[in-house]
Amino acid sequence: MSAARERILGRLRDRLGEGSQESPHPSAAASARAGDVGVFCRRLEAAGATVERIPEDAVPQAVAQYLTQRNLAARVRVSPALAKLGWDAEPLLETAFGIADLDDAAAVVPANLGVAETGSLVHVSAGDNPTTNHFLPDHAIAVVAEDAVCADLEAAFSAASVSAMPRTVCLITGPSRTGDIEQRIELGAHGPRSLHVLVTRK
Amino acid sequence: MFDGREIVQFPEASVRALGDENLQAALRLLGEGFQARRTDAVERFSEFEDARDAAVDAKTRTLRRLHQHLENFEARCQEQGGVVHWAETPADARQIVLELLTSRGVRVLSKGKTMVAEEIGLNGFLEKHDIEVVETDLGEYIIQLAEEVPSHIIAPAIHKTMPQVVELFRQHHDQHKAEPFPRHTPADLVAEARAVLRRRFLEADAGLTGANFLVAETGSSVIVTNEGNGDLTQTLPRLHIVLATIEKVVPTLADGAAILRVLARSATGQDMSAYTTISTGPRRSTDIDGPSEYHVVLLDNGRSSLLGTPAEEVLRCIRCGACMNHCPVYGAVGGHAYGWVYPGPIGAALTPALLGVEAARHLPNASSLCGRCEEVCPMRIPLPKIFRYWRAKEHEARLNTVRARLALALWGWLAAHPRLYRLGTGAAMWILSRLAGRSRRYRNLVLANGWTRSRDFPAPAGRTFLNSWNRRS
Repeated sequence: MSAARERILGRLRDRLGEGSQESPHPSAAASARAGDVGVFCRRLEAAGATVERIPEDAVPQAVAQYLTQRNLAARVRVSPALAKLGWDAEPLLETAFGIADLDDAAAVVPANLGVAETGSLVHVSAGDNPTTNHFLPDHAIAVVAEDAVCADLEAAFSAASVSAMPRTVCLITGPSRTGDIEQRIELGAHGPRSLHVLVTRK
Repeated sequence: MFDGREIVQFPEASVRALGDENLQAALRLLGEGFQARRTDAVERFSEFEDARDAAVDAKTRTLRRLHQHLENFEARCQEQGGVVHWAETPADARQIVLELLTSRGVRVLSKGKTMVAEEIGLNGFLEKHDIEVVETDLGEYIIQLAEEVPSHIIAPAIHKTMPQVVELFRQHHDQHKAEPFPRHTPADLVAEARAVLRRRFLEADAGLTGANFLVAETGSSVIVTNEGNGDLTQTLPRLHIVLATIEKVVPTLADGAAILRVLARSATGQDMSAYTTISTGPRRSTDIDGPSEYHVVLLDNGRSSLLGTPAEEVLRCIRCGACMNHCPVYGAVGGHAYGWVYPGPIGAALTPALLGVEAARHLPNASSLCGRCEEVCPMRIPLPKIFRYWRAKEHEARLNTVRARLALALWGWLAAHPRLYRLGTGAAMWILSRLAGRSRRYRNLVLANGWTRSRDFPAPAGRTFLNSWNRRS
């Protein structure tokens, strides 16, 4: 295989010349510019998500209410990173922590950042933040702090990659959708059919 | 399957396509679908032209130092625990993937959407080696059931009508089910595919995706999707294989951001697709999900030889599909008529480079050179210019008909003798105008029967443009 590598790179060198390393425009130059939370929420809604702005300690209550409004069972999978949100305050809400499976209808997941430019949530995978939970359940309820909303894609990328890159950085912009049948947009292709975002303030 | 290098020839295939009622019904939706959505997205985003310039700049800088960015990508990817494989040809790439799968005992492979897998004929090859391939993108899944190939690069089943999908699902899903799924609306069909494919994601031992781009500074692959199937494919199985061609690398995440600003707007008319996912290496030691192995197969397949030629600008393509969505020829005949993996204007520009001018000689001619493709291309690829380049190559290689060559020779000679040209065209216009009669049109015309076979030829006004212009001043 390394022979193929040498031939491909050799052809490129022949055609492009060795030249000096061009210094790339470094992504890290973008500072973590704060984004407009109102714009962020509007863009998220435009992408098909629903948004609620609540105090940080009201997450369990908001989750319970959302499930009731949607006529869903009072049972959620919670990503371990959100285990300490005071779930005991909602005794009627059944919570399970860890990785989601096919039986989980709804999951509560953290978003590490928001992007005002695009209305995206940024998921950064970690031991307490499995990627599966963002994609497998039918209904995703995402929690993002309003001071984690940054201005644009560059700011989000530089914040997400500030230490070493994790396995997965995912920008989530609305629920799952498809237009593969007669170009008509339908929600809930393989990922969540609905995305509810809780934007929290301290 | 695009196994081997056979290519259906455009002239025959396009005539068949024009008579296919289902296809024509599906294609009629392009205007209110893809075209209208892109127009809206561009109107909502006042900086679109600047964003295009930035995206073109990112890719132009990439291609100028492609070897260095590839080496950087490889080094960063390996630092993160990934493995990079290099493949010169489709056969090499197929073999690499097969060995990765068989050496790990993989029986079921789930797949996200990748045109490069179509380019190398991967599915048929793996199935011959007893590996079950499960397409998970809804459009790809539909055509896998139908045993067809994609007719569009981002909407592979765009040629299928809803009744055709209902019939396919009835044939393939009903035998194991006492009560059939409801199939009254597109939403019903989406729910059905979701239910059927859920289990398959978990059964798969390996997941294969393409890459919208690769990032050199971080050694990452990036996919942009709407369904979420790509993410399940690259998260749930224990092995993740990325199949990408060498020109997909960009230097930095910021360059990726520049491309993202034009990609979804040009493709589906969204400001941003639902999921943009950056994958870097396998799961980390503290992670509780994700694949334990991450492999990237880098395929050349002729692309390195395109650099430095007038066709090199096709390497900027980000596969958004805007050129085909707006092409009058694609809109009339659909994607299958182009005969190979990449349809529409980008196919007509790329296929001769990948398969050779002889095999693909009709494709650069399947264009009226109207220029809509170039107008909507977010990467400002001069597609009509590239068609003319391939047409010239076809002529040089004497692959066009004797009649076409004679006509071109006569035209060339006349055009080089302006006085004779003016005299000749002036006389022709005068005669054609005088002979047209009161209908002012011809139903038959010698030397133009290719035109008059299917429509009338309008009579000229009697003077050439040059005559009129000279009289005016």
